[in-house]
Amino acid sequence: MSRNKRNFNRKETKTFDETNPVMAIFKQCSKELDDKQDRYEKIVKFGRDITIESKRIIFLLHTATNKNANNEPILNEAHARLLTLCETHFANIARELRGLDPYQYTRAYSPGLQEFIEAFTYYEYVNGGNKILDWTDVQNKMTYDERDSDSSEDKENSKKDGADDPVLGIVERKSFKCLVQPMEFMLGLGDLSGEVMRRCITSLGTGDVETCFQACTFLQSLYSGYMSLCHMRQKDMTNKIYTLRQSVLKVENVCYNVTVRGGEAAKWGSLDNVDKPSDDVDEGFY
Amino acid sequence: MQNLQIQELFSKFQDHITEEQDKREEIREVVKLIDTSTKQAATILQSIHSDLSKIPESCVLARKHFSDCKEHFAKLGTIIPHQQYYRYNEWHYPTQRIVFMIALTVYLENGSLVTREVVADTLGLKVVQQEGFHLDVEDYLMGLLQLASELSRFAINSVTLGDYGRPLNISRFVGDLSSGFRLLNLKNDGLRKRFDALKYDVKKIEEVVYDIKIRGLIPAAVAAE
Repeated sequence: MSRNKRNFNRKETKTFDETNPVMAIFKQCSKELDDKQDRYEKIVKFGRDITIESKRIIFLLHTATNKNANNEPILNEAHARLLTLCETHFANIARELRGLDPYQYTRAYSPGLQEFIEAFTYYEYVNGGNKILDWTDVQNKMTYDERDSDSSEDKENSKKDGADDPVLGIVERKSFKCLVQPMEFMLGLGDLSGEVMRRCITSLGTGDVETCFQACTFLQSLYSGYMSLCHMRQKDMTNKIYTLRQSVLKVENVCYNVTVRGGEAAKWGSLDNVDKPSDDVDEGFY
Repeated sequence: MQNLQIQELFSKFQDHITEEQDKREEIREVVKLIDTSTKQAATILQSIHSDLSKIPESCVLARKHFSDCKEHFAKLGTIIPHQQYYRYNEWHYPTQRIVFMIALTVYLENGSLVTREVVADTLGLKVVQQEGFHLDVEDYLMGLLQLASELSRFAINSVTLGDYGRPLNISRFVGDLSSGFRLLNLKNDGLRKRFDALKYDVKKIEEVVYDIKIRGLIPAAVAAE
């Protein structure tokens, strides 16, 4: 114990040895590393919030089952909540990364972003599903104008600048963004398949056979899309494609049963499948 | 209709990854050149372990390879697009090696710890990220940690070669280095792992100092310092 204490004291005295040039070097490095770690942690926190909210939105969207029932309010609410995420958490991340290399911190928020993409594409799918977004659309949603989403203190600063030089104030109005990498988008889209599969199973339960066939066609084309990709070295992607294959097989099996036995009997035949998918669907972020 | 859109999406994505792959190949070519120059410098600096009189000469020779590296880094800087430094990470390991080589050379020349600015200047890199292609702080620190291992070996060999004053100097230097590293709040990552090995280097050097001190082998001039 006393030895530890002595060591600690020695360390403390060395901390304040300003004359040593080595210490000066490390002080500077320390500052930089701390800044990086703090920023990283902050972004991880935003990312977690995004993950949770996105999962809730997906859950909400699962309640919109029957096509002709009153889905409108559910869809509207989901849409509003998705947009709120863009305006709050993603904007905060973007603000943290303003002026920095966007690739440096992508790993801090990529689970959140993928979950968000899953929720967003699922919303698009439930809401008619005739339009497939790509990453540039999502990127556009996460690109912010310097002026509309500044925090108040930044606003004060820009006001000051503007007072000094009004022309500069306008020129400096740059946009900043929260980077959406195509790879992340595709991984998020891969997760969508699990949700579509789940939707297919639930609509089988309610006797909405049309949705099942729709899901089947969608998943098949998605699967053939993923199959077509080459030079893929990402391990995540390989896993995702494997899971996607499982979903496709399940949905195809549902459609087969519906065709052979008719909608009423099929739900008995595939009930034991219902529990299994949830294991695959959760990627372990939660 | 939907099917067609999905196909379009995937072909767009395929284009994207093919493009990224090509870029990586291009970067790898340049990194290979950096690697070669680094290896050559390393080979030259190996001679310090067998012949102390060759030290000044090998420092001069090593510096020639550093200027080769500077050229390669300039080329790398033109390949990597603005603000995509962290997108590709093919060059971090060779960079750490070259930082280590430069730090060793500077230590052999004047016994001081090289600053990040000097390393960056030798390689034609920037220090601040925003100014362009820069030297990452973690790469710099990793290079310094490699230096400590090399110096612990050098301490032993300099005793074998009859220079009893050098281990004391090395001990002081590595001691400073290790207390410097203790100022950093390292989280659980590669740097932290490498830092954990530093204490073994410190211990090794301390043992060498102990051995020569207990036998009274330290020259009077060094001991008085």
